[in-house]
Amino acid sequence: MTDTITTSRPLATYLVRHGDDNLVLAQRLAEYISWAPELEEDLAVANIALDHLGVAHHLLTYAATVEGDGRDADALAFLRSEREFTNLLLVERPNDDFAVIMVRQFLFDAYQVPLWEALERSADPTLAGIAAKALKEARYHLRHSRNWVVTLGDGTAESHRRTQQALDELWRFTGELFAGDELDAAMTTAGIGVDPASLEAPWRRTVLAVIAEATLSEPDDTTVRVGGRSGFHTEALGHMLAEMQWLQRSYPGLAW
Amino acid sequence: MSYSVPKIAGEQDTIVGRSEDHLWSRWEVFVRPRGGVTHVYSESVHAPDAETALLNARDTYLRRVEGVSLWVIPEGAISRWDEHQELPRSAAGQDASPRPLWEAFIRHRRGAQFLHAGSIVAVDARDAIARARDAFLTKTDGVAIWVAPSASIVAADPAEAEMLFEPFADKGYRQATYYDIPEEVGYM
Repeated sequence: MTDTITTSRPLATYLVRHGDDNLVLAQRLAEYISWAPELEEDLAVANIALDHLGVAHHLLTYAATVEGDGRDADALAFLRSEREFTNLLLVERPNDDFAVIMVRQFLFDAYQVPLWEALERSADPTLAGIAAKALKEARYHLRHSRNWVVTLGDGTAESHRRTQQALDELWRFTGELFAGDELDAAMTTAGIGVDPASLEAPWRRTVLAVIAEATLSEPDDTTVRVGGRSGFHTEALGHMLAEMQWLQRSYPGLAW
Repeated sequence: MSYSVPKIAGEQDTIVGRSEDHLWSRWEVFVRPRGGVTHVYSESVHAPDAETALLNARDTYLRRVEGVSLWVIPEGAISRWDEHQELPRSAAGQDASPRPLWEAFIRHRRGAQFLHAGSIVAVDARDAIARARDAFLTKTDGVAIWVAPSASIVAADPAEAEMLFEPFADKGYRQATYYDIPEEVGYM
């Protein structure tokens, strides 16, 4: 099914990819609500989750319109299987501890800011509008997550150890952020999308500056895990979707 | 967030899950809502530093109110007077001590919110309260005054206003009125 969409409706597939990134991360953050170390941080995490959910809603709604199959955003979110999700592997990684949550967020925020900056100039006016709105939120998310990475990295021996561990653990998923494929190339040529490779330099500038400020070290792991964009996920996504989709799967069409 | 739980004799200090003894210090939050003329007190947040206090204040108090400006003040920087205390006397004013600038916040009647009233110069906190009383209140008006050195106020950078405030403008789902209430629920 993924192949059909890829060949016949490239724009819809492109929108779903970025929608999935935001949807999956929103769900991961929502799982953490009520567990944050302080009430204020709980509210911040909930806010950020809602921002990502809002962006996912816009992208998937537009994707459904472009697709024209009568599916809506909810059908895309709740009735696709794991193999049909095309999010980056980074955002599906589980909430192992607070350091993992904040480092994952930081690595993704540092990617989303230049992504939305580029897509704000998309030839597709709807996508450009969504990007312009998302950019303001992403800048805030980056400010929040970078502060935490610095606070934790340059904090106690234990917080430093865990933050470095989180960075080492997630590093192999960051190569995928910049690994483009034919769809990215086609969207870039059409002036609609952005070449992911062009986002790597600004991402590295942000990430390396914060790593240094946080007294952390850049991991020397050169492994690059890819597969998310073509539906090959880590073992973590299936479990997450089971929980996220359970209600609609059990009670089809149930609404508020 | 500014609640305190009465202690029962022999009770442990730590409540399971979340400690009442915050590692983070407390900051008082003031928001100027869109269309508002002044900063309004919005309760407090806990935060380890000024920047986090601003971000926490944004996440906590701008969820349903659209703000255009945000201030946080460390709790300890505020001196407080209310109607049950004797009003401090203003310093005589002849000495040459430096007079820093203070911001005054007034509660005009019981149950009302503290509003930012304006700035005054004063030699110390007691002097600032006395001068705020003279400057901003009539004889019968005002039940409480807070003053804080202007330098203690941490304000959101206007250059970041778009990032801090604008994303809230189009989030109708944060408002109760966004949701349809099924008929069988009746009045809520």
